[in-house]
Amino acid sequence: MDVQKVDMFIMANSANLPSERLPFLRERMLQMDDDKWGMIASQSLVNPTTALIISFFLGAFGVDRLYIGDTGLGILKLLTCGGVGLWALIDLFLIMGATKDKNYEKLLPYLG
Amino acid sequence: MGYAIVVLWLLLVHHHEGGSVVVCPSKLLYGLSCPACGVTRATLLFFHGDIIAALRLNPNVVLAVSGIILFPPLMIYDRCCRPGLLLMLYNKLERLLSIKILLFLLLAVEFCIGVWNNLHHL
Repeated sequence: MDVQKVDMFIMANSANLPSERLPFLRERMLQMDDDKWGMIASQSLVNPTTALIISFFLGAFGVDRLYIGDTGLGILKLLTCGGVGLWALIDLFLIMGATKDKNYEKLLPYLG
Repeated sequence: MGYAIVVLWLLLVHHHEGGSVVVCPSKLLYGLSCPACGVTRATLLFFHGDIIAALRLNPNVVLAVSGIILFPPLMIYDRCCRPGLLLMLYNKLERLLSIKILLFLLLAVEFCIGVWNNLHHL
């Protein structure tokens, strides 16, 4: 794949992906065929800051986990009062990292 | 950091309203009961034999009691005989919940239970 295209993608999404995975991601994307570019570009990545804001206001209802795609955990959080409040509080610290990991998992199937 | 979080949380929930402690973040932040409020009391009623009263207090008692009964043997079986069983079941649940209509149905039911809780001042 074109170096410029890959670098633009990495720059545009560096805040949405785990920083320690960026070099590996760049290397795999450079080895990929151009026809996979459309599939990669069409993946909608979730903004970690938005997830944090949602976690602050609606974390008790599991909306933050539902927002990042962790449906089961979101429902479980809803059914346990945000894990009696403790899980909701802990997720304030974990949700940004979890969002970046989920975004990375969305791209993994296309990296080969 | 974990210890700091627990201490901070205990300070935040240290309300004594008639001897009870409020742990629900929804109640603390917005004064609204969430769909899970009352499940502990409903579960206690259930195990005391008052099933109708338990269901009227919070219908989610069905899920709570199912979890209490099923989870320990599943956990033991997962540990002893079939590692990864709980993870496999969780992944199956995720796939089931990825069906939008099922997810929206479940969320609609939980919303109704939340409204019910607030109407009954739980």
